[in-house]
Amino acid sequence: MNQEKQYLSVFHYLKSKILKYFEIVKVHYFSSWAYFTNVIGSGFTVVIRIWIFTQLYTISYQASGATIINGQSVAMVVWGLMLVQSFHGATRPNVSRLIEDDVKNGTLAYSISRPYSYILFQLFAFIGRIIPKLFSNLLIGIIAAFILVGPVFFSVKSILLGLILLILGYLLDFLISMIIGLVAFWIEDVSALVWIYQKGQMIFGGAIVPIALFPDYLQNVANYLPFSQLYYGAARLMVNFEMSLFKQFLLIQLAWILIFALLSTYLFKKGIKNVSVNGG
Amino acid sequence: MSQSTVAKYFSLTWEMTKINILSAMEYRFSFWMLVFGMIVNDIGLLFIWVIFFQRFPEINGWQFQDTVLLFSLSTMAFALVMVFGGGAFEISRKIRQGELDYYLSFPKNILWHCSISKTDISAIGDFLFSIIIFFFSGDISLSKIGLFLLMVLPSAAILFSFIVITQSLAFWVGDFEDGAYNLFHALLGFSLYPQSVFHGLLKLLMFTLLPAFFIVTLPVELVKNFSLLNFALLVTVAIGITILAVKIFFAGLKKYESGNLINVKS
Amino acid sequence: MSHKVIEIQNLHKEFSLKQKDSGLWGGLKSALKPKFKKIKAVDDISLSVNEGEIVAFIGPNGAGKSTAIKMMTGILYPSKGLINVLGFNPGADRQKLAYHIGSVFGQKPQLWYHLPPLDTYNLFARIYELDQKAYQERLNFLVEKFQIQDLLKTPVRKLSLGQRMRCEIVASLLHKPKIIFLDEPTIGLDIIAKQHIRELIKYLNEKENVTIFLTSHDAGDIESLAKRTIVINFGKVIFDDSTEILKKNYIKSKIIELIVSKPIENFDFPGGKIIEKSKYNIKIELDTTSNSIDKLLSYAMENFAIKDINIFDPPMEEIIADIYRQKQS
Repeated sequence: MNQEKQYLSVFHYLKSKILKYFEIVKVHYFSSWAYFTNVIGSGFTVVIRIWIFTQLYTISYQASGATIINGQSVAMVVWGLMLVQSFHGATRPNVSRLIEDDVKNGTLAYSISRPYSYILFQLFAFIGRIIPKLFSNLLIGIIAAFILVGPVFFSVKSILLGLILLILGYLLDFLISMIIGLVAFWIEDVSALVWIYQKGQMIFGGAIVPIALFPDYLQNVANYLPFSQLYYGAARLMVNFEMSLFKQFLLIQLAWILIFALLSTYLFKKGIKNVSVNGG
Repeated sequence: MSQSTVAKYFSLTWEMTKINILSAMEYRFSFWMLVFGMIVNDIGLLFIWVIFFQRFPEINGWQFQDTVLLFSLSTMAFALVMVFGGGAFEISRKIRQGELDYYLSFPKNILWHCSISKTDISAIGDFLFSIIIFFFSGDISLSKIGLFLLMVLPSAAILFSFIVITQSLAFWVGDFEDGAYNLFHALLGFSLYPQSVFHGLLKLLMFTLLPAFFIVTLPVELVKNFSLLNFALLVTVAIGITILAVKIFFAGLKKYESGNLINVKS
Repeated sequence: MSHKVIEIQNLHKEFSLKQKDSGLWGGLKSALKPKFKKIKAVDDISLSVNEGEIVAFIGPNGAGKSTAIKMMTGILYPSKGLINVLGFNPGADRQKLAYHIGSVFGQKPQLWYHLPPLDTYNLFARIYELDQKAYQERLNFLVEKFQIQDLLKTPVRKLSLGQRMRCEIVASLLHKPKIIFLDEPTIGLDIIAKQHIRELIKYLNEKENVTIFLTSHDAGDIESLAKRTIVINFGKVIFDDSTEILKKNYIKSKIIELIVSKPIENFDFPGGKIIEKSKYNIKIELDTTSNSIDKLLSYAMENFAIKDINIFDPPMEEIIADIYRQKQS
């Protein structure tokens, strides 16, 4: 079978698996009472968080006597944070944990003998999980932000180009999480790495303080780190589009994606070899 | 309860917690990683505010030092609850899985027994973090230390009671694990921000449904500016909500003992 | 002079279980207008147990056994009827009663998994407020009798199942309870460990007059320990008499499993019906009224190359079906 056909068959196989999974989940979970209360519960948390951000930045801006700081109004800040949190919040459960489990229980090792790529499979599953959560997060978030700070101007261009950064951002998040999970081949418990990554995202990912509000020297550092290139880049550009910034973020994203794609493939191969040599 | 009963419960609490920690220490690596991991985690959270206060040095009287004090107090209260009463966080799950039966077969208060049955090891990291950063929260005086220690107790009591109440809703609603978890995190969310920014309806929420005002705002204010009246208010609320939590739990337990819970396992 | 330690009169327990339809609308409907289904778990039970008795309490799953025991220990309160355990009303005085009863549940351990049994014992001594000196004496006595000296300081997770069970039973005895509820105490143990535990239980009962309430699916437990057996089904007591009579009247067959090293060609033994046969394994149902197990085993040993033998009682369902049949005729 030539390369093209091989990938097509892999694609169809994965598609049917994901659709089947979706059907099962739809029947059992999406129509269940538990799902409903879960949505209400996490929706409530989202609304509280956006409300807190609104009050925090409204008062802080007032105290500093400015209405625009580094091109950001309070409304832009709140919408931006809402977007970052919505994008990021859709990625639960933690990919690193799932990979770690598969490393520990041998599923990953077995996948070598299967006619598909383990990494690709995880990627598709990742995408499948994100989409419903993303929509429900955004729905609640947009309504809350609209009520609390009013509308912000979005252009079609900003949304479409921002979407590109978002898709690449999800890919980058996936790669980094996969790498952390793969480290389980060598370390007993990857929790420490997971926490560091999560904190990195919280601090340098513009999840609580937008990078645009960082002191100038720190802004440059933050923009070049991978954390800001996950969701902040997309959010920032959707809310306040600047072509030069878009080009800069895009380049930085692609660079990091390349680095982590290579690293994850390398670790994957090395880990598998480790297993087959040592017997797992 | 007689005085000696209270003393007995205190010393038993100490014994149980010791045994919890000893049990966890069987896994050295995990144990220390949880502790140090949490310290690093908390430092990370604080670092966000280092950045924030570079841009907004003072907000209605609130400065970075106040945030440090806030973090110190809230992590200390949280640590006390999770070290000595970590089991309270599992009440909902234990109701669902019928595991309260275990505590019912012992001659001790069930709420107490269930609560002390677990110690969250990472909370030891919170405890250490709290102490370390306390010394960076401005002028340190003996009286400030005294006030801090004094305020931590009602704060922890209210936090504990909140957890018990939300977890106990499972007696009536059934599976409320996620619900209680979400409420707890919504509450915790308030404890990270400069308390001077909250106003209006949101502040009302902090007085009532999510009593962050009494868990962090008021205690921090009392450490900065002690007032007997406010302290009396804090203590009254602490006692009141604790009594409420106990009543709710045991009312729910009566229902559990009727066996009529949706998911009762026979 | 023996007095009653457990007295139950016309005990009823009904559960009102909320009926929830599946799906989102179902959940909403049940929150607004709940529907209840009544289940009668215990249906008019009366019994009494004297001090020092060993009583087996058996019945199929869902028969109401655990519900009845939970009411005796105060975990559930009854819908109707009287329970008196050691002079206490278990539902109302649960904590007070707890000082005088012990329980061992085969599936739910009391010992802390990561620590040595001694740590749990010391903790229990404090929970049950035992006098230190009395506790030490008691502990030494139990340790010697149950032979767990070498196990005291080993983390429970490193003990074998049999060792763990012995330590569990010791934990339940530290506070000198007057009644012990044993639920599946020998589950998962090999025949030697089972024997050992049974002997210890018998010893305790004889020496300290401890009343024992035993639930077990293991017929060997029941036969060797309990003089009296109560059979419960659908929440009702359908048999309450000596274990001897249960055996004589209702357990009239045994299942013998023979494992051989050379395949059996012909198996012919009067009263023995072959119910399962494979190359190296054969199961025979023996009518014990027409022939004895000894004779069958002798026949088997003489004629075949026996590697292993297992003997089973007829399943509980059959015994109960038999009880009903006999009652009707």
